[in-house]
Amino acid sequence: MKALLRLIDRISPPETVHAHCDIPCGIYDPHLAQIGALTCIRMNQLINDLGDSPGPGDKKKNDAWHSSLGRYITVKEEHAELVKREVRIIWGDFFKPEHLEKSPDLHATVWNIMKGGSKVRQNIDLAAAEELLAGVQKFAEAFWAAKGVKTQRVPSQQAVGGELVVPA
Amino acid sequence: MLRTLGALVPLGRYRVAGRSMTPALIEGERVLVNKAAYWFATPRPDDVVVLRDPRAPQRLLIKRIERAAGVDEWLVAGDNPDASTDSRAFGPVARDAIVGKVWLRY
Repeated sequence: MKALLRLIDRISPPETVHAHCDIPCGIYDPHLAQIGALTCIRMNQLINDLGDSPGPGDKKKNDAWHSSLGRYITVKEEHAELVKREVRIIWGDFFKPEHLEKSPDLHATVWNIMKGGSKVRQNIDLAAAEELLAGVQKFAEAFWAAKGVKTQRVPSQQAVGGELVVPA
Repeated sequence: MLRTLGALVPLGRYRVAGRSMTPALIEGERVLVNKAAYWFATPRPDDVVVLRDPRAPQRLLIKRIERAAGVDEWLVAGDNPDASTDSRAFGPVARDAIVGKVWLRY
């Protein structure tokens, strides 16, 4: 049956049905993922700078401390998830099998980012956030290499410090 | 000749282009479509159908029925929402725009 259909296709080709996105914008950029990772580092820095809880004696101070901590944690959660989402889209939609020749450890890099992003969410751990950034930088370099674009690492020029991978 | 013969049989052969139905249907796969599927039945959620693009009727799309949206209208969606233009963009699809139901891959 299937062989017969294939034979018919040779004589009279099948019509095309589109399973497209109309917005095949082809715009992918690992910049947002890097900003997300830098933000996670910054939130860990701010949490560390917050010092010890002032305790319940001074309600106003105590509330302010908890409010800040809550906000830093929320932003850390959101940006770690943003990193995972952005990397997942580029990995799944942009990369083609032939790109793996240039970046044979791409899948491992992405896997580490997925695990690292979760670790950043689970803990207050500056080192984990820095590792996440390192993974995303590596991913960004693989992305630009796949497009044949040379890159460089430049200082972020933000309070957080760190470097961004950008086209050279 | 084959086209003429084919017109008598309510079956259509189609080749999938694009990735909105990944992983169910991969780019380049071919499907046989039963054009008679909805002569006596209505589309049901999860049916994979070939339909005419409501914005460009010559263009054929392949999507999955999500659910009915009123009388004789259905919402369709790609399996891979990040790479799909579907009812989120063009709204519900009328009964007569649905060409048929995917029967088998070959």
